[in-house]
Amino acid sequence: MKFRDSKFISFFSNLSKNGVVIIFIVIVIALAFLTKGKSIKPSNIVNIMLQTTTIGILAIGMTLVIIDRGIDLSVGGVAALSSAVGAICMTKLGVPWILCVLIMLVIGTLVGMINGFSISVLKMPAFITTMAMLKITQGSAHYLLGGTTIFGLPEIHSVFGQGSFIGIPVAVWILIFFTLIGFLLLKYSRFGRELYAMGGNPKAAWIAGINVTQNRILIYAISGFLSAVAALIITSRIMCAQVTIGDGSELDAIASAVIGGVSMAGGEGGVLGAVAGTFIIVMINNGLNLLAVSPYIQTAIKGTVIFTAIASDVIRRRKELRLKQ
Amino acid sequence: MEAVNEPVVVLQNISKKFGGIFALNQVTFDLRNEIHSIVGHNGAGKSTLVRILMGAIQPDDGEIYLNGSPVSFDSPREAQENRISMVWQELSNFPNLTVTENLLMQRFVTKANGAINWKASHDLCKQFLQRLSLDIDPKSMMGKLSLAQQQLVEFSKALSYDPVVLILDEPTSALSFREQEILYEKIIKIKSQGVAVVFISHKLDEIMTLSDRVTVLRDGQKIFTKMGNELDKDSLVEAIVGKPSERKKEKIRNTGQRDVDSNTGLILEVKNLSLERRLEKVSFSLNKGEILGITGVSGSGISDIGKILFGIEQDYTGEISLEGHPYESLTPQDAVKQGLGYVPKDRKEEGIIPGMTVGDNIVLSTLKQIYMTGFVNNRIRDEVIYRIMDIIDLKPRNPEIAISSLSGGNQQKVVMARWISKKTRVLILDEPTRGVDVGAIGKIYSLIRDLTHQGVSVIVISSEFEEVHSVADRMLVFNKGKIVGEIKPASSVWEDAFALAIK
Repeated sequence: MKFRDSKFISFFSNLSKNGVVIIFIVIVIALAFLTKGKSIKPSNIVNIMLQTTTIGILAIGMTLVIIDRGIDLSVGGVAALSSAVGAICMTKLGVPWILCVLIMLVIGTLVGMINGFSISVLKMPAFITTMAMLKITQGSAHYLLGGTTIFGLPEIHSVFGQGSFIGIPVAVWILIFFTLIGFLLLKYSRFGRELYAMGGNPKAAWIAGINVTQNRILIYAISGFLSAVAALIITSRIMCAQVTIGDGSELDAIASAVIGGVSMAGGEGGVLGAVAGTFIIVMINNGLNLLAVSPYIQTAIKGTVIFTAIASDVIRRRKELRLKQ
Repeated sequence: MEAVNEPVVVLQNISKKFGGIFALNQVTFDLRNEIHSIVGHNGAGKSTLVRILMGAIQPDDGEIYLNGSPVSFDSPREAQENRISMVWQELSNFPNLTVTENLLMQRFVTKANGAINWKASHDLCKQFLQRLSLDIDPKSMMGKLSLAQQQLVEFSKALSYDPVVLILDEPTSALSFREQEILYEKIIKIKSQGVAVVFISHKLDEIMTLSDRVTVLRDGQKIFTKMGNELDKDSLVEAIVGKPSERKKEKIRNTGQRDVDSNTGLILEVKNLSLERRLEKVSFSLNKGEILGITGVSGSGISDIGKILFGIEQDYTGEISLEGHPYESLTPQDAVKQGLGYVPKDRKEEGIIPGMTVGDNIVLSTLKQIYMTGFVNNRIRDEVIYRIMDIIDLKPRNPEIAISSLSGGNQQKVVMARWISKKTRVLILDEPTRGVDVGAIGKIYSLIRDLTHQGVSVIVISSEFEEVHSVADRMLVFNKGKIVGEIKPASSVWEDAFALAIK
């Protein structure tokens, strides 16, 4: 109870800081009116939530990476590669299903660790490293799939994307689970505190004795792992593996994080905002579809939303800087 | 070496006060076609005098004459337009660009269509370099040149504006001993081309060899201006720090000194520590619970000691032992594990995490303790934060505010506090009072003394001799990368240490 007042104030300044909650509410109301209530029908809400899951999961990993002033462009490729390998194991090699799931997760994590190692130990720039990794994984997936789609995944595999538990889809449960883990990790764990310090001032964090190298490998490994989780959900939903899985998802994940208040300058933001950011993107997509807006202009609208989010982040930072002086 | 020519610049009876204290008091300084050195300890008024000449600050009183007519410069730019140039102590070039680009930035030779004429630009650059007979390829990258060469390019750049006065602020402080020789030769060349040179330095040897005249400042007063050949080292030292009889014994304010018994045991021992171009076979030891001052003027290598001990600088030779065990720290993280703490010189770049709260900044190095299970223990966290805030007497006593809203002094206390909350055995502080408001300096030093009562051994690295003298149990004096003396503050005055440091 000691600093009740200051906590109260910081709650509101945080709220206005990312503004994501306000945008969220405005969009929900606006779309409800425009679509004459279609957008808030329970069936549509479940639909929105399902679409949120994969990008949302990727956005959680992306948030960790961006807090550390990095970027992970390889998530889509990692998802494609792990689904290709998983599908081949399941259909052609006859590996037990549960083992295949495990293999998929291990592949994602391993690729992430290679990213992390290159960036933290070899000091390669994150942007180019992960872009190269995107090409490596995408190309490998393409080769493994031989340019075709692999069908015939075992029935049980549909559990992630099509099953449900207490009326809520399993995929949504998975998103909730990882959001919670991400939130707790960032807010209450030592690793989380160190991550914010690394993003806020890398040199000072190093001098304070933080194990920057190990932490950095870990965050890229987490991002890779979560890419594989996303791959599980997608393959389960469509019950096949194809190379286009995850195409362009890295940009959606980055956009979600930025809209959700994760600053590209590092050291700021969290997973709740990022997942809310995903929600906003999906809702806009969904609303525009319901309104039968041309898909071409939809892309432009999405771009405008991202543009605005980054602009407001930069303007807010400059304002804060001016206030300090 | 005579200076019979007419003065180019005269500063007449200049006074300047900062916060009621005279930084300069009725100082008169004239400059002819000569190398005129200004010497004095930190705070003697050297930089104030030069900044007034450059128009960076305005004098409270006094006149400036340029070629006999009164002038006043409102900005460094205006001074530059009147052909007064300065080469700053810290290099400010673009390492990723060529020498030509560095030298001709914003004034390239262009073709009729507006495109850069590279051949002509390189040729012009070469001409400028030739003025100092420099054999540097205009096309080479600035960052690939040695520090001395980079400094000489800076000289060439300053000369390319055709100045009548060139101010050199400690131009050799970052250079190795051999590189300095090259610079001296070029500075004499600059003078021979009719440029009046103001030379600021702490190194008496180079002042003695280079200067036509020397002006000594002490506590804002001019002590004298003398011909270089009339001076010997001892009289110069005496002018800078005062006669031994004038060094009043009541100046000894350091009452807290303890003769730390070497029986308490050594905690840290350093043998033959060398770092290329910076340190030469340095050996010393630190007793348990002692405050050891490591002092020297800028460029003496003192900062490197801290960096080596804390694993920031790794290319050293020599042996270090910590409580009798061989010690080698490859990274700061490693050093922390072995019980060392470090407060860096550059607080903004290396100390604070600007986006975080005061509380988060305090516990940054103690995370392992507070997050024993991997997740936060809020009870321990609050306990640590409040205990630390009490120890460092932080006001406002609120851990939730942003660190960047605190004053420099308070930020420094927070950076120090990180190591209090931990069981730190040896705390190294590099220039702990830099950029700290005057009022907070005393508090930082009393905090350092309090730490030793908790069993911490402290190394204070600083070029503020007077401050270190007031807090240290023992002072090591560095000069040109070597230890040149050990001073017991209890039985000496700080000027004794400074005299050793510049000799």
